[in-house]
Amino acid sequence: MTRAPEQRTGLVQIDRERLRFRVDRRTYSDPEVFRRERDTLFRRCWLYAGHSSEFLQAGDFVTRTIGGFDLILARDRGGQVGAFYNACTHRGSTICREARGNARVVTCPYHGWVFDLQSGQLRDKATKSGYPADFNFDGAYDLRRVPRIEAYRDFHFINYDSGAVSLEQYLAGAVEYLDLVADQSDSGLEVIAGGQELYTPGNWKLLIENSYDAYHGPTLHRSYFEFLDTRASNKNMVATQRGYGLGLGNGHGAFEIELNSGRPVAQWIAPFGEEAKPKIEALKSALVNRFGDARAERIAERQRNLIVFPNLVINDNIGLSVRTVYPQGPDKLMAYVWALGTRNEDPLLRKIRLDNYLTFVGPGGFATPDDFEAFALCQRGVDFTPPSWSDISKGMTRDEDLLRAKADFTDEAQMRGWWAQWDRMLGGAERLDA
Amino acid sequence: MSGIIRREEAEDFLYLEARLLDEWRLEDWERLFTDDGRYLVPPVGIDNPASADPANMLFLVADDRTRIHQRVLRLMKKSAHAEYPHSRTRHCITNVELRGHDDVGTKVSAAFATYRVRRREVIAYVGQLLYTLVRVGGTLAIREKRACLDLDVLSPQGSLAFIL
Repeated sequence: MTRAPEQRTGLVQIDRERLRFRVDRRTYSDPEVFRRERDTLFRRCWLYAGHSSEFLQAGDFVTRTIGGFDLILARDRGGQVGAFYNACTHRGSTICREARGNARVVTCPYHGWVFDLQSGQLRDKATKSGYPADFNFDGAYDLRRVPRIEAYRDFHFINYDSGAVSLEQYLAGAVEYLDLVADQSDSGLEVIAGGQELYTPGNWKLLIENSYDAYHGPTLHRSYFEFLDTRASNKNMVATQRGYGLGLGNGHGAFEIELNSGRPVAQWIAPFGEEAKPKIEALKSALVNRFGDARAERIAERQRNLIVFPNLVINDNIGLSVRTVYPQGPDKLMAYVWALGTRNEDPLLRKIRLDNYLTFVGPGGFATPDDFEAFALCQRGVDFTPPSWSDISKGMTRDEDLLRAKADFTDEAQMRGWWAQWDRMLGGAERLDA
Repeated sequence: MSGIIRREEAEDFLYLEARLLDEWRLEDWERLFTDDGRYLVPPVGIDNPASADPANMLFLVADDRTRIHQRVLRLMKKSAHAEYPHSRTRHCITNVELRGHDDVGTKVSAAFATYRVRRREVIAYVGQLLYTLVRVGGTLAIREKRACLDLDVLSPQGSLAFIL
């Protein structure tokens, strides 16, 4: 087994003797760190860009900002999803101003240059006068394509580094968890209308850490768990949790727990109502038929939070949420948040799913606002107290392989894997090894 | 439904509601709702927030009466960290119009600008309120309150910790 070289940037301090794993708090505040993250992580890693269900038909497109670049993602007639920079090749104006839609061509509002949205080819320039007939002979004025776009199980990722390893190689052990999510339905998953784009104070890494930190639940989210307890006939939900967290290679990580708080696929609890019971049980038996008892049990009954390095978060718990997080400078983050459901989902189960979801993870829910509060408080503490270290040692062992360590789910093994990879990449590691 | 609701009456009722929220008298606010009352905040950036349905779209808030109660309980706890200590808010309501009535109740629309003041910042939440009001035992009650935010993205708000 290869062990990642340790302590490259000097910003991550790994003391195996004293079992201390600490991160220099300048990583949350220093503009230089922000620039290095942008130029390494967000230029060389695979970044989640969208889900197949967002562009089902030829001509379907979405626009969004991925790693600091405005992109248009569009499905072409051959079924392929292309990624283009959303700027006119003439003078740089944003050309596509809708968040989503279906179109054959897109026309720049400034001088009327027209581009084929499927091939990216320049079609027309409003007037041909003044240009040679073979002006675009080499395609120099076609929409610029993002160097790489690949998909795994309907999750589409882009990469700005043409020499990057394949997506599947990059994903390493994370494919096991993406499979557990995608296997919930044999007709696929879909993004549910109402996804959010939000901006909130705090370094982006605070949201990453928070996303697979199970340790903070009982304290920060006490009021949410108290709400759950009242629903589940006054049972103490926190005390029933069991599970593990682990690194999945290349900085990816997950935790997986047993918690009887109900899942549309497929764990019925009384608050869902009697009408939902046979529907959920049918989904469970379908999973048993497809995958056998053990795997069906795992897909249906367990909850999991997955991080694909550096910034994709999939929370497959009481609902299914997909988030990506980006820095807006050192002290502010931006996140896209989508709820996913199974395609052709029963309307009652869809309602239960959304209900479950927005009560917890939604920005108006009973938990997420408190997470955001914690980011703001951490950022304040970082910016307005003398330089110090943040501790990520919980559950550390002397000989753990940082990228693949496994520990109790309330420990921080999965987070150490993320930081070890962060340290490698910012410290100049050229290529990734799974 | 007994009795037509007049605009002045609806206005006074909305001002009362706004004041209860600004004074953090949330238990009193909760009592303004009927037993089947709902409090809804549709997603931002959509074309049809007035008719959007929380059964097939991800809302920011889709509370039935039980969850309105749970929201109030939570917001009055110290462990609702995003609202501890409580932020100062000012719910401003204008452009109040009666929009007809049916067997569900009287429809009222209003424009709102709610300011949340917290940690050196004033953040505005702007939009349209759509109410279904009913008269219960001589006093008005809320059967549905739908707060449609005029935002395309949650910037700079980030989240919605308090009640609009």
